[in-house]
Amino acid sequence: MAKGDNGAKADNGAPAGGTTTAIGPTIVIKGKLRSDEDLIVRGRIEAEISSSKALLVENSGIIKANIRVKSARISGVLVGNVTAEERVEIAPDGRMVGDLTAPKIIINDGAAFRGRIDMQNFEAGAEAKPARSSEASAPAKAAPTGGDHPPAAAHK
Amino acid sequence: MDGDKTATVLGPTVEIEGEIEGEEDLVIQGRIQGKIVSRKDLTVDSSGKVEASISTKNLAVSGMLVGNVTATERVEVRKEGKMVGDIKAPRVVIADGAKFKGNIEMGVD
Repeated sequence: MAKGDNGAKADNGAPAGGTTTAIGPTIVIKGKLRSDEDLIVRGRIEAEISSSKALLVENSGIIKANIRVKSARISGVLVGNVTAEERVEIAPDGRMVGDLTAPKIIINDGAAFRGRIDMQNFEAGAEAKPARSSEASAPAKAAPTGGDHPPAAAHK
Repeated sequence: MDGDKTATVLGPTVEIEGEIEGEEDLVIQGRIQGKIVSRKDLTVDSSGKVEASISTKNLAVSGMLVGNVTATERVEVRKEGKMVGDIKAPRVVIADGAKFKGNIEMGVD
């Protein structure tokens, strides 16, 4: 992966230029779907999706399957597990049930989600600074009985 | 684009194994394997490769189609089109240059 791509704002899960396939509201697909172009889903898909590009599930879109994509933005309904290379965003009107695996995951206010989230990079980052994390967790573990007291800053 | 005449275009890199059903025009530029049910127009573009049994209103083939087709109105195999399979439709057009192998039934009583 190119280093310069890390902070690219352009890739917000919405399809960028190039070819795009939009699957209309009355379309139902069952089976398996592979693609190397951006996908916009307005219909219903009960097909395993694997794509090297972005997936956009619009309001009217319903997906019931496991998907593997570069990035995904969900404004519709998705039931299934999602693995994304870059990011997954659940829009305010999105609903999702399933497990999410991606380095970057955004759940917007209003979105409905049930499932597990795994941001792979998070673990790697924590291991990179073992000294700090043990410092921070040591006092908390040393005084488990004092947990009932509110933090001093919260006292009025 | 999203008016009353909606169309779904499945782009050249899209591959589907399974079933597609729809009530809007469908254009296939990629690969489909399985079954297609449409109540509108179905087009297999020149880059499209379809191996499926098809039931639709209208069908136009400019690409490659292997499978049996039942259309309620019309089937056209265009000049760049290749098709292997049986056609059942009231109107069938096979253009000059098209390749076709199979049975045709126009429901002549």
